[in-house]
Amino acid sequence: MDFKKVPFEKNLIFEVNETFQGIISTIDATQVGHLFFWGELYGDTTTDDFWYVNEENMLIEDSKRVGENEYILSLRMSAEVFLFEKMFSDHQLEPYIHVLIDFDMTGSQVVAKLTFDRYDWRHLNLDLSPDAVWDYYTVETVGPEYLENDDNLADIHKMQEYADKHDETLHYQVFVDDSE
Amino acid sequence: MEHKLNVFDEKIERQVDNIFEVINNLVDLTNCSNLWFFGNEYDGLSSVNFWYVGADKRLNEFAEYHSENQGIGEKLTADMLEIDQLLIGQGDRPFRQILINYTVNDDGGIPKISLDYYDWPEIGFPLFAADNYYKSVTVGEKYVKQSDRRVVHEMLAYVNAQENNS
Repeated sequence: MDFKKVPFEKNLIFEVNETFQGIISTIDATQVGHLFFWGELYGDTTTDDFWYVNEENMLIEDSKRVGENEYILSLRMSAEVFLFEKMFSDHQLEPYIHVLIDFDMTGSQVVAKLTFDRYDWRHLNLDLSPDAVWDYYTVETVGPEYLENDDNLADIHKMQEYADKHDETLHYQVFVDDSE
Repeated sequence: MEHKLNVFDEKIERQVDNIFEVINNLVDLTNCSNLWFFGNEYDGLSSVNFWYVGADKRLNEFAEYHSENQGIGEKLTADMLEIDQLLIGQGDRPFRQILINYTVNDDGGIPKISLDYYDWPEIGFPLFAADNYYKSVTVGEKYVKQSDRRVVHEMLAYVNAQENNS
């Protein structure tokens, strides 16, 4: 995988760190191996989420997203989706639709691997189920075993096949300052 | 504002520094010596703003509704709400208004924080008038629209009366 040098590297590092800090301060990070952040900007609407696995790649669902903290976190995550986009538009670069960050916490330093893509899944005439977009990024990160419905795998395969033929992704890598 | 916040905790400090950094990433503060961040929190309705007087003596102000600023308002709001949560965690009462004056230098911004607890709508002023009030007390009323100044004067009179009573 090729990691590119970006014209907005300083901002990218800042926003990646912000994303990491925003999430990590609300969860019990002791068991986390990889933390995934996903965001979509579609028109003016953002959708976002995060999930994480332990070092054996088992999904952990132990989030303290309650009350006021959940509201603050949702503001932060939505802001990041806009601000990643802003880096592209500020530099007259073609906008992305999805951002996926894999925070690898298994080593001595947290490494963030970012993938921006421009797959407009809803308009590709792949006849996808409503959950397919969501499922695709889940499978890409933690594999098919956490899909709620195995029938959706057929959709994922169509999407993977499309992605193999049309690479519309950009990959970056950023080191995260996780010192408290 | 009477309630100066001097006691710092590291987490609050991080949010306060963060607000400066977010603004500094957005606008060019090279010729600016003072920057004000203002946050208003009212029963789940929050708003944020920041302003500074540029070298040309004009007031530069954050416009949350500009599409290129999407995300910035959410981020500043999140930082403001987090400061409030951290203060509440320390046993403080929740603030309604927070004003941060950053003295800008080459290394960044040195913050002075003030908190207020005015329930403006309950007192009889529109919620959005608070913005004008704090602009007036920080950079002067010439930066407030003439038509909005009467309300600002009434708010100042109210605050002075309160402070004299206490």
